[in-house]
Amino acid sequence: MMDQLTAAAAEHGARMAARLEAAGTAPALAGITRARRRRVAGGAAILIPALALGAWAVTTVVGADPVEPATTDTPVEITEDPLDIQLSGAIGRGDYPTMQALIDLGVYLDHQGNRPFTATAMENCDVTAFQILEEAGAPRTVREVWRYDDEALRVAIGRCDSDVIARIVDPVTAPRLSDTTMLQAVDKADDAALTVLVSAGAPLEGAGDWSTVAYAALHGLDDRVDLLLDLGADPDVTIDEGPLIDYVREHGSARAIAAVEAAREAS
Amino acid sequence: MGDSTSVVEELYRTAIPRLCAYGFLLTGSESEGEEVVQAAIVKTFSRHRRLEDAASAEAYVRAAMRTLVIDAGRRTTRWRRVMSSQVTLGDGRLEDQVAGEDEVARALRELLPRVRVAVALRYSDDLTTAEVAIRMGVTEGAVKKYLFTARERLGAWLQATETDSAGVAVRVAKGRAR
Repeated sequence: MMDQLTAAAAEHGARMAARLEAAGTAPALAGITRARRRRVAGGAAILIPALALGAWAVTTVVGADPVEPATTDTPVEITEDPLDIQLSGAIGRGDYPTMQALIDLGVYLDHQGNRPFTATAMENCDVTAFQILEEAGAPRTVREVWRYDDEALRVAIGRCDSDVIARIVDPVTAPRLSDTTMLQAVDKADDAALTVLVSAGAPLEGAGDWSTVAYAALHGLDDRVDLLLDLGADPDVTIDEGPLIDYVREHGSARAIAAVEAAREAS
Repeated sequence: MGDSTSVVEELYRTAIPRLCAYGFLLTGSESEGEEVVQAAIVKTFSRHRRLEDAASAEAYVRAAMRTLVIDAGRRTTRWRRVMSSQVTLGDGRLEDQVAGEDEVARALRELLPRVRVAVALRYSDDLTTAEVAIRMGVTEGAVKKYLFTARERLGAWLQATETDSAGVAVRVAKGRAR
């Protein structure tokens, strides 16, 4: 071993170490950070031109059109027609993705002419479409035309079965259903649908104004008279023509008269 | 850089005097040695190596120091060839005026960088001539030649305790002088 040489080196090394230790690790750490940045920048300096060269090769050698955009797999087809008309068509087709896309685009949902979109959905008894529209905020009625009525429900009555009626009827607004809707229900809905409506709170008469029983008796719907009385129709109600029993006696069948009288006696 | 920071700090606490002595042997200058130590640490840790502790890092740093010294020597030689008419050395050497300059430093600087590397590997790292040859990527004969040259220049510091079996007579081949 060369003791003198190593001893001299150690002596110099001690002085050098003292200076380096006084400076601390900061210069070395800063240098490491700079060197790493340079390595990253160097990689980018190689990679970016390589990608550009590759793109050039693809477009010139392979013949790809650089202007042509990549194919976008659009789930729906939106045309240049007014959005509300497209929405109406999508509801009719049961095209839910297009419906959702149009809603996302901001189609005006308040109404389409004199009929709300929810009523359009009920033309096909399409509960899914109805729910999509209602979740998006589409109303059930056009207030300027059908001020208080549930136009969607009115369309569904007589067209859709009781299951559909049960899914769309709103217990909050059912008590405010108009005589028009309820008389339509008496005329067109089946027993189950009518029962669903009444169970949800739909009115069977308007005191001093109208009565479903009077309507059924007038039109010879004796079975409906029985059902309506069973569902809780008031046999003692007074309508605009006078007491219900007098109206039924004048316009109804003997069976209807007997049913109303029996109900009056039972109450 | 969280892990590297702790290893660098540990390296500074435990190994910096040894690395500095190594740097002095490799350069023959305290200032150049410090620069080599710093540059080797930066080079070692900038490559995101997973260095768990200072001991393993020290070996990498020593290797980086040797590489830096040999590369610097090659660069200097290349510039001198290309710009020989542009480079003039003054009468007095700047190194003679700075602190830490002495006979050992002057003698070391008179050696070629690769000779200083061979000296460091042989006498600081305690490697055999065969191992030095492997580390440097040269033949064993070349290493013996380097060590022979070193003994000639560093005679005053080497002959006092010279027991090295590598101190055999080396025939200097006629060829290009570098």
